[in-house]
Amino acid sequence: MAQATLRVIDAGAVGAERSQALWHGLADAMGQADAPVLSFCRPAEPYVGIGYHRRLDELDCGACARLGLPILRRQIGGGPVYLDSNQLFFQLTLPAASAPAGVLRLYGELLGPAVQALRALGVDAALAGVNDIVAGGRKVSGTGAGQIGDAVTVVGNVMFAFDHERMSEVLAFPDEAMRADFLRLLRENLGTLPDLDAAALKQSLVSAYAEALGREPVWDAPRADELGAIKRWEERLRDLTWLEGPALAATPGRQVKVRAGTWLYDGESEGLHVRVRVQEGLIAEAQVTAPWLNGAAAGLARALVGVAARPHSVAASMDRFEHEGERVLAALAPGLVVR
Amino acid sequence: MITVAGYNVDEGLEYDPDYNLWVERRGAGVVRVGYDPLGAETVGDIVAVALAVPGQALVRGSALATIEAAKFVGPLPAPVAGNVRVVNESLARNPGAINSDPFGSWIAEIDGVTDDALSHLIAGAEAIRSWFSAAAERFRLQGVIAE
Repeated sequence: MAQATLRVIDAGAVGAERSQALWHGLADAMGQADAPVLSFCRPAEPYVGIGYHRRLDELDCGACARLGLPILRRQIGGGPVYLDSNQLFFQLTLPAASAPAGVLRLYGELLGPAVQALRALGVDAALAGVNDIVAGGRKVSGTGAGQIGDAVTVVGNVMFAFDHERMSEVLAFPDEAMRADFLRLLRENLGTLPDLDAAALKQSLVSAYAEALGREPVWDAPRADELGAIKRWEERLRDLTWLEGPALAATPGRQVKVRAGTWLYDGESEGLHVRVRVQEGLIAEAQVTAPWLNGAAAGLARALVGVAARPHSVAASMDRFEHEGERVLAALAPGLVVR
Repeated sequence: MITVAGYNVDEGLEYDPDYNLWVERRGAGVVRVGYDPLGAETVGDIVAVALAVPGQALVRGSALATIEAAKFVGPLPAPVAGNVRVVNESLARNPGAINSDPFGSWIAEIDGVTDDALSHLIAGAEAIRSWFSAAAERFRLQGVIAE
């Protein structure tokens, strides 16, 4: 009996829209009996991608326009990202019915081969958190996933180089100090793999996914129906209503995630303002300000440092401050939900 | 509530066995819908919900909402055919309530629901206990939920 196949489609260097439409279309066109598809592409031009449930006001759209960066909304999760030709995109798309149940298991099983592929090339890669791929303590691949039509797709990028400064330029921040903090954290936490050969990486990914899925890889091109779906997705990505995204409630404060467990948050409640830097899940730095606090602000901030960035832990640390502690918790609580 | 496989399950509701959703009949042709505890656990920690628009026509399985957990975006399938009557707007501001209080976090009400559209639902304490127990065991064997 012939071994089941894994279709491999390498679109090469493509325009910004095609680099997103490719895998959206492959997923949209996938039938329940179809073979999984591992697809590759590299964006030939830089652009900004934003997750399905994110508001455009997380971006500095004026800066994106000045820099000539298109903004494209994807139908998978996660935050805004800067994307360019120094990244290889890989996507595994498979019928939803055959995807692992449960989001944690899905990432574990479908990103595990990407980790193995990097390790086969000598990169000390590992899965961190739910879905970050790290090497040398820094994130080297961003990932996300979603169900599009009757297919589930898991996407990732591998960064050969990364323009940290450009990434910090395209995001919206309440002030330049927070942007500077973000840029510093980004440089510390986001790594690159400049010595990897893209062709070798693709081959390693193909081998790893084929082995994990128990399928024979077959290099292929998109079918006619897949090309039609890809073109429809290109049109959708250009549509301003699509770009605007679904109606979403405004999120209080400003949270900017750098990698799993590391983010900045700036929030306010009843005139009390809190800004924190969270690293490895712990509050590493905190500022609390309010016109009436005077010397008490420093004590509140000190009590937050070292505390796990979880509601019950922060509540416990603020308990002795009574009403002011409740205000700090109210200002900080939205920033403890990691998006 | 009855306790099944370590979960509290409301035996007064009906359940869609494919989507792990509870369904509450609320008068002629009107139902209220939410995730059951297994659905709320296996979907992951929900950070965003975009709800369907009232008036939208649904067939069983079409998206009643899109949800995001751990950067996974997927549809929340309608358990029955009908029309979206009203959605729980508070979930847009507090989507994590679905995880922490699945029975208290109704997602939407659907009207125009026929009796036939409800015929696949599991109802009654014994049937619920049997189905839920098997579903929890299946998820445990798959490693989706903890032992």
